[in-house]
Amino acid sequence: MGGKVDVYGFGGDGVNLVKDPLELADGEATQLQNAELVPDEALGGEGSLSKRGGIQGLTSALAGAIYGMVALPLQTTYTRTLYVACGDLATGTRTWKKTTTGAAWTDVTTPLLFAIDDNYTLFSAGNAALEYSQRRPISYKSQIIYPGNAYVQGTANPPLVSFDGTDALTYTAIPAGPNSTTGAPPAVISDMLVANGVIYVAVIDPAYAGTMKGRVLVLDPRTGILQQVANAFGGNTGEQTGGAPVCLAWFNGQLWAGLHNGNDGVSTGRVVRCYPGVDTTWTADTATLGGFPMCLMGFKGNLYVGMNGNLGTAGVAKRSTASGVWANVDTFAGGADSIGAALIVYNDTLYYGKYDNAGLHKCVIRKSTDGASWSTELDIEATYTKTAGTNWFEPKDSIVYNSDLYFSFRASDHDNADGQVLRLSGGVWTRVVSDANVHGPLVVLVERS
Amino acid sequence: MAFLVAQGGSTLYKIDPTTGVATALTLPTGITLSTTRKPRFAVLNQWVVMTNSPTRNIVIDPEGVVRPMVPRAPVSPPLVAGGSGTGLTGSWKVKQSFVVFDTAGNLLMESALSPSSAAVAIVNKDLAITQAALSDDSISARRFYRNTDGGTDFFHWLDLDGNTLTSFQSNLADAALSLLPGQPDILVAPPGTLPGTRLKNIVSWKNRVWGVSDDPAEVDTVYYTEDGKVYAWPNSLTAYPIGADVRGIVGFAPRKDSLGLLKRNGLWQITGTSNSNFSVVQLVSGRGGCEAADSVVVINDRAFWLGNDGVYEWSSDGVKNISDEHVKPWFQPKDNTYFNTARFQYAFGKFNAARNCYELHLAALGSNVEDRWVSFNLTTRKWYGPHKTAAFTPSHAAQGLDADGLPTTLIGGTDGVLYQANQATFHDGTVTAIDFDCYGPKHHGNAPDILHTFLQLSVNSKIQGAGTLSVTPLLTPVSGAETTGAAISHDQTLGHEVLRRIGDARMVRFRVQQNTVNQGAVLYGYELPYFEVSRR
Repeated sequence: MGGKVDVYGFGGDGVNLVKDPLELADGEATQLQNAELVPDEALGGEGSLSKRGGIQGLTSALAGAIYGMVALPLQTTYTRTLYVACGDLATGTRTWKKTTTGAAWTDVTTPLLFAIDDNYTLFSAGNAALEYSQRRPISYKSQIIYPGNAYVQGTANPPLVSFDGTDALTYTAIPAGPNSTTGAPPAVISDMLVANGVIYVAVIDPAYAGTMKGRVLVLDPRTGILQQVANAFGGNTGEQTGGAPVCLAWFNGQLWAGLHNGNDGVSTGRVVRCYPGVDTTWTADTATLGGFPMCLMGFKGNLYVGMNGNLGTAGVAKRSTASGVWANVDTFAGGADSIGAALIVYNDTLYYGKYDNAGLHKCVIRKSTDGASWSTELDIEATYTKTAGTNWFEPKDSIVYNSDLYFSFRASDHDNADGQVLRLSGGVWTRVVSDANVHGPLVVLVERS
Repeated sequence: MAFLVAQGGSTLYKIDPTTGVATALTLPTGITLSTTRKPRFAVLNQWVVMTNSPTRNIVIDPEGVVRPMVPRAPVSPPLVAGGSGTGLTGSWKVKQSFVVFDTAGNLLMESALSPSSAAVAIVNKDLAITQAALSDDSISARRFYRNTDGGTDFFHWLDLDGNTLTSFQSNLADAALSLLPGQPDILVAPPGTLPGTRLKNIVSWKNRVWGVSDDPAEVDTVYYTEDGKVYAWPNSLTAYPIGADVRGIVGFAPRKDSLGLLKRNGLWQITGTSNSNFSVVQLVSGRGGCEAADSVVVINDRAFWLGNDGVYEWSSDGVKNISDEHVKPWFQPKDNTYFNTARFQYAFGKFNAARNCYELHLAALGSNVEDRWVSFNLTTRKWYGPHKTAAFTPSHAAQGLDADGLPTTLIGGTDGVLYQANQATFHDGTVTAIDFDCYGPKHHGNAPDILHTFLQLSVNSKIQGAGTLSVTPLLTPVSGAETTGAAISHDQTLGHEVLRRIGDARMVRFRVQQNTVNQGAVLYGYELPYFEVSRR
């Protein structure tokens, strides 16, 4: 007798070591080393036995044997771009400048214009409060939010605008407050802050003659609802006196606000605090500062305030958390129009920009590692020249980006090309933006890839 | 874009799955990685929890920032006394914790609370805190809780920013404390928060992280977090009986509605949806236990693992052995001629999604490294292998993801290289050939006692651009042992080829081999005419 063995699907039925060898089916095998079924007809199909695919290196050799790994379908690449607000009304070619390297900056027009300087200087009375407000933008998730310029001051509500790297939108507008005279809209958004997942917005309300007015609002970005925090600022019954809020900080579980009274009336610098959502009124933590607050920053457990020296020569004061006592820790030689601005902590050191309205070199960066003893980190005017004049204009903002420290110095007017940005990287200061119409506010946009 | 986290040597890496670029991550001060304990990972709320190999439990955020999973708790309460201010009259106690915030001020993690301070009675003073504890970890602030006058519940009082100051004072009234009491009871740190014990295994299930300690007294107890929180571990369940096996719970098998707790002697199951109804029952005892924590792989609500006598599958159909029917000898604990059973506990598995296979890495007989692997095809439910590579020695394996988040198959090597399987180019490593080597069934024409003359072998294969297949006839003579015939070379460029006459034998089977770099092979089948010669 004869016959023919027909084996189609050699090994396709897998290894069988259990059966009697004489009972193995044609598709079974006793060893299938480096063989597999590939569910792809073009490559053989499930019924055909294929040599297995290669196993090839994804990485170069790491520091030792691979003991474990996990794959994560999560966002990992965030593009961080540093923006500085500009004020180019004349040509419209530069609303902001941006950089991803810190060194090379490009002009951009997509983000809407930040509220320009005019909004902070137009009114004769109360100029100082508006002018020396901290006016920081904020970075929230994958967008930046800041005061927009698309409003007529005194007529329309000041808008908050946002930019996510592609779309520039109006986020919301700040409505008139109950302390507003004749229901006139707020003048400016004076500062912003992100804390506890919500956005705090400080605004200055009209009118500007006499007692300064303002509010601090909390914006829940999930709902878009704006609510007032504690009581308003002003001179009416039930309002917190001492000026309008021009700078904010979250410190030791409380919201702190620095008040500026615009040099109207008899007053001294005041810092107030509250527990948002709990307190219905602000508590004056101090009403005896030697200057008007311009910025607030926690450092090694204590709170520091940088001041506008219109009340005297106080530059920076410290609030001891242990005692609750405020005391000056750095001073100006000059008085009026001197400022201590843009306090920031970088590498365990507290920095601020000082514009001292006395002497030749007015603009310096000061630093302290203990908050008590201060030294000049950089004499800017002795180091850099600028196109117009010798004196730089005031330091406006500071930020840490890619482990480097940046300070901005605003231009003398929104279309004047005399604003600057300096960078401290690896212990070396570099001017990275020269002679541009820098308005000052710095912010980092975090974009998902 | 997906990414990988891997431990190579004692270094932790974040790896770009497209470029393979590995970036070493900075571990928190004082935390090191063991090279004798395998890392265990779980993912919750975009954080990777890593235990067992670190000296303390750690978490890794998507940007690669590594933090202790739970800050160590303050060991002693702050001192509380009446301060220099005014405003409070009553009796108060204070507790403290350490907290970490993100850049937007959201709470990321919080330590367990310190013991309560002694009650302090004051009259029209503020509360003065001194000797507030400082943390050895990197934290954002110290958080203080306080009771209301004479009360027993603790409410969030305030946060003291930074990690420098040790004293402050406050006259915050009871009415201004947080509206609801704090939840100090949930702020329980798990094993592995302090050096000495570790979470030897963890898993994410029902929006919580579940873990088991390596403490011999607790190896039968599962700790688990609060919903969505990686830092709060107040809960536990015990898979009774305790102390029946030194290794206790070996592995976790997270299925859709059940969490399997695998011991060496059986399977326990946790069901439920919340703290109020989580419960544990034993499903299987005796057979069906688990030998190797890393052998457990869950694929489409089916769990697979290596037991002490085979591979088991747990699905809605129950628990069953899936190796006994075809490859029982691979896993038999005694007289195993394939694998080193003493190293079963170090076996590790992976899901090869491209081939729809559960793959289990084992040590060859006489080997002390996991240098072989076998595959269970979930479509055919057949076994293939044992496989090997000469390019490197596998040390761990897992399902990976490519840059688009689609599945890949990863194998780590003792050489420190992370490899990807299923590559279209047929070599391992950089230039190592893949040793394709198969033994088919014996052919005897239903007459194994009759001498046959096997005529010319006709081979059908997928046409390749080059290369040959070596086909070696193994002939069973009328009497005596099987003999090896001369190898026949099949030209793969032809697709079909009639080869030489095989010869006389009672039975014949074929060994099909190829070991050529960059050369694939697909065997469709073969035909072999024969006629019977005689019966002795």
